[in-house]
Amino acid sequence: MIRRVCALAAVLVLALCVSAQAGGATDVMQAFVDKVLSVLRDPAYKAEGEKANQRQKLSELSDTVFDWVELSRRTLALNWNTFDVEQRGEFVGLYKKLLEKTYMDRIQDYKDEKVEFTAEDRLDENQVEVRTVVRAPDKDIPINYRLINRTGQWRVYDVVVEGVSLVQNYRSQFNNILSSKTPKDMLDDLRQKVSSPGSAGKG
Amino acid sequence: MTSVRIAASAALLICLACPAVFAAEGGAEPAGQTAKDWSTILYWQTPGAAAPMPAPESVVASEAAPVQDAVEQAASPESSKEASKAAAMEAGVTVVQQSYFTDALLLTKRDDLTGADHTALLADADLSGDYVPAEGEAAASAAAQDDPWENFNRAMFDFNDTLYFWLFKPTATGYAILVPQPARVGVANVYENVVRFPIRFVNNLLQGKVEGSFRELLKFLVNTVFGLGGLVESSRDHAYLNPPVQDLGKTFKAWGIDEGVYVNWPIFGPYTMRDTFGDIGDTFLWPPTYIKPWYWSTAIWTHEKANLLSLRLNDYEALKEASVDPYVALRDVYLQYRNKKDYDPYYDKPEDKPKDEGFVPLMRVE
Repeated sequence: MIRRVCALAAVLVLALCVSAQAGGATDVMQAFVDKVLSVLRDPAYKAEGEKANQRQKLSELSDTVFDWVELSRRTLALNWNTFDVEQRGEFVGLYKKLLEKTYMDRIQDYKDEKVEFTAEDRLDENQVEVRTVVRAPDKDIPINYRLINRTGQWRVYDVVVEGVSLVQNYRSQFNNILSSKTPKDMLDDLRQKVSSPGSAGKG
Repeated sequence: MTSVRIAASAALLICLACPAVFAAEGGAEPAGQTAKDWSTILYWQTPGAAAPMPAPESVVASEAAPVQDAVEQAASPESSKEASKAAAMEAGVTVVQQSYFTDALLLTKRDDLTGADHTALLADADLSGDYVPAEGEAAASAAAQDDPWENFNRAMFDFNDTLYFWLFKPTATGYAILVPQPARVGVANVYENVVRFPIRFVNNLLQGKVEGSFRELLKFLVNTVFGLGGLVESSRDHAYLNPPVQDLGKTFKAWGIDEGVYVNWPIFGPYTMRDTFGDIGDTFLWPPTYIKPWYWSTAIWTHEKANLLSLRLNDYEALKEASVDPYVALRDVYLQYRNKKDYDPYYDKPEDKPKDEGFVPLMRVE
C-alpha cells in the first residue's frame, strides 16, 4: 500500500517538476545573458567609482545561474573526495572568486557583440548543453553552456569555449598541483592568489 | 481557477510529504544520497517576520527532522492556508540571490506573483556529496597528464612568455594603433579564406571527405566573388559553407597516427609531435611558400600572425591570470582544442537527433 502511495506521489512530483521547468535551459541562459549584457551596457556603471557596484551586480547574477558546488565538484573530480566538508566549502568560495576576478574584466571586451542561441543538445537525462555563438567582428566564437537540473532548476556546471571545457582545464591544473600538495596547502595558495591584486599582464 | 489552485496545493503537500514517506519506508536508502541537491531547505524566513537565524549547530543537524516538521505543520488543518500560499509561491519563483558562508548557503527567491522575497538557508549537505566519476573517465585523465618533455616545455614556456610581453605584444599593439580594426578584420579574412584555402581543400580530400572539399571550394568562391576578394566573409551565416576546418595534423589523426609527445616550441608555442609535422607539411599547401625571394613568405607569415594577435590581445593575459598553473592551463587548452570533435553546423544539428522521451529531471527512483 505504502509503495503505491509512494509511486503516486513520485508521479505527482515529477509532473509538478516538469511543469515548473517548462522554461527550459535555453530560456534560463537567454534571460541570464540578457541581464548580464544589460548590466554591462548600463551607462549608470560607466563612472570609475561604480565599477565595484557593477561587479557586485554581476556576481549576484552569476549566482542565480551557476551551480558553483557542482562546478567545483567536477573540477576537483576524485580529489574532491579527499577534501573534508569545510575544505570543500572554502574551495567553492575561492574558486568562484578566482573565476569572477578575471573573467569579469574580460567580458567587458565582448559587451557589444551579439550572442546567438543556436541549439540545445541533451547530454543526459538531466544535463543539457546550450549552444551559443558570440559574434565577434572577425569570427564566431562558439560558447556552450552545460547545465544540470538537480533540483527542478537548470544551472550551469561547465562552460565550453571553442571546444575547451573550463572544468576540464582547471581539473588538469588542480590535479597537477594536488599530486604534490595537500588540500590544505593548495587552499592556502589559492587563497593567496585570490586575495592578491591582479598582477600578470595588466596594462 | 480555484480548483487548479487546490490541485496545486494538494500536489505540493504530497511533494512535501514525499521525502518523509521515502525516509520512513526505504530506511535502507542512505538519506544523504537523495539529499545531494538544494532541496534540503532547513529554514524559511517569511518576509516581515523577524525570525532569528538558526544556530550553526542546528544547521548541521540531521536533515530528515526539519522536513518532517514541515510536513507535520503542513498536515495540520490550521496551517493549510499557509501551505496553499507556499504552493502559489512554488509555482513561479525566481532565485534572486545566493550567498555562500563558511558552512551554509543563503538563497533568496522572489515570488513572481507578489514580488516578495523569501530567503532560505541551505546547509552544507550539498558539499558532502562525493564526486562519482563517469565511466572511463579515470583512465582518460591519467593519460592527459602524460608530458615527458615537461622540463624543456616549461623552460620554453617561460621563454615564450617573455617574448610575448617584450616583442609580440608591443608589436601587435603598435600595429593595432596604426591599422583600424575593420581593416585588420578584413586582412584576417583574406588570410583565412583565400590564403589558407588550399590547406583545407586538400586535407578534406586526403581524409576522403569529398563533400567537405566541395564545400570549401564553394566557400572560397563565394567569399572571393561576393566578399571583395575575401575581405568580407560572406559565407559566415551559411552552415553549408562552414564545414569543419581540416589540416594535415587532423589528416594524420584520421590516418591513425599517434599524437606523440606534447612540445612547447620556442616562438611557435604549444604543439603535439603529430601537429608539428602536420604544420610543416601544410606549408607546402600554403601559397606564399612559393614566393621568391624566401623572405617574402616569412614576412607574410609574420604579418598574418601579428594581425591575428592584434585581434586577440589580452586573451593570453586573461588565461594566465585566471589559472593556478599557466603552463598546465595552456597545455590543456591546446590539447582540448586540438582533440575536440568536429562540429558540422550543417549536419550535426541537435534537433535532428532522436528525442529522449524518458526524461526525469529531478529524482531517480531506483
